[in-house]
Amino acid sequence: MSGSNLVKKIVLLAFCSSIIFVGKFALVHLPNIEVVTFLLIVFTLVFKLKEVLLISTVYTIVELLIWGVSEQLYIWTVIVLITALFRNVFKENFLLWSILSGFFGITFGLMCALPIYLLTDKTVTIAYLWANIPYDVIHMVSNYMIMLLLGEIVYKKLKQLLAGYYN
Amino acid sequence: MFKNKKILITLVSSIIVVALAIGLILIYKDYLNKQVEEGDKTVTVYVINDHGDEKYTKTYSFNTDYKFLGELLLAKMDIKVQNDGYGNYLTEVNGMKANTNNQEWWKILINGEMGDYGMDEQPIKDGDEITLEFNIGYY
Repeated sequence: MSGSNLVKKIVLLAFCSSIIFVGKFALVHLPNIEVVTFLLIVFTLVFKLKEVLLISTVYTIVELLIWGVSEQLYIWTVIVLITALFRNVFKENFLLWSILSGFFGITFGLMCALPIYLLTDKTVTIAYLWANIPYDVIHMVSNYMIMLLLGEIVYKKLKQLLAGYYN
Repeated sequence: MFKNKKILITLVSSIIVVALAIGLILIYKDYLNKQVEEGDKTVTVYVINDHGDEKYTKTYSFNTDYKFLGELLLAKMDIKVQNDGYGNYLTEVNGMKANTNNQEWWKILINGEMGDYGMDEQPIKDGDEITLEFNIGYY
């Protein structure tokens, strides 16, 4: 890769991390309605795994700096890795990606509960899981709908833009 | 033909997701309702703060027909709550404000144990002992 293309790639990955953060920030007051999962899945479909891991790591660091340590910091990387596992199975079937996205939503509380269990105890974890059920449901439906409505459009547009991005 | 099939599958899948969501919410609500105790009940509330210059302890006893802790506390006690989209949580009790910048928070204990729900969903039962405890540090 030439020097200018490397610079372009660094700029692009930084830009993608910023887009995730802007998306997160824009919807932060809506409980469990977010586009982070959606964008990470789409980015995993168009970038190499190590590139998306860089994007999710940069985003995670920004999240850490803005909102501090939380139980969800590791989840973005997990979402990227699971998406990468299914990349060659689901291919460009965005209904399947929508279902996986919804699955990430409904299990988000469960994934958050893992560090809570390790840091506290069973009682706190169960209380956390119970309290989270309505929000996990919102998360599931919103993740599913966002991917169903925007997934294919954003994916195709991104691929088209990337095709003409490098020299 | 193919497009119609795709639309049909998408529609069926969306209906399943929405039905699953409604089902889970109904199960959750049903479970909550089963915990609710109707009628009069006596509830004791302790307010404890070990982090001030002097230890603060105050005890209240209420005869109430409220079903959930949140409505009882809001109606009968000097508290303030905040809702960031995830339900109400305590921010101040009897003028003692929890400053989140210092990782201060109010813990709610039901009969000595952490409640399973947020204050608005926590059912109260006759004889319950509720403790509102001022804490510093999240972990």
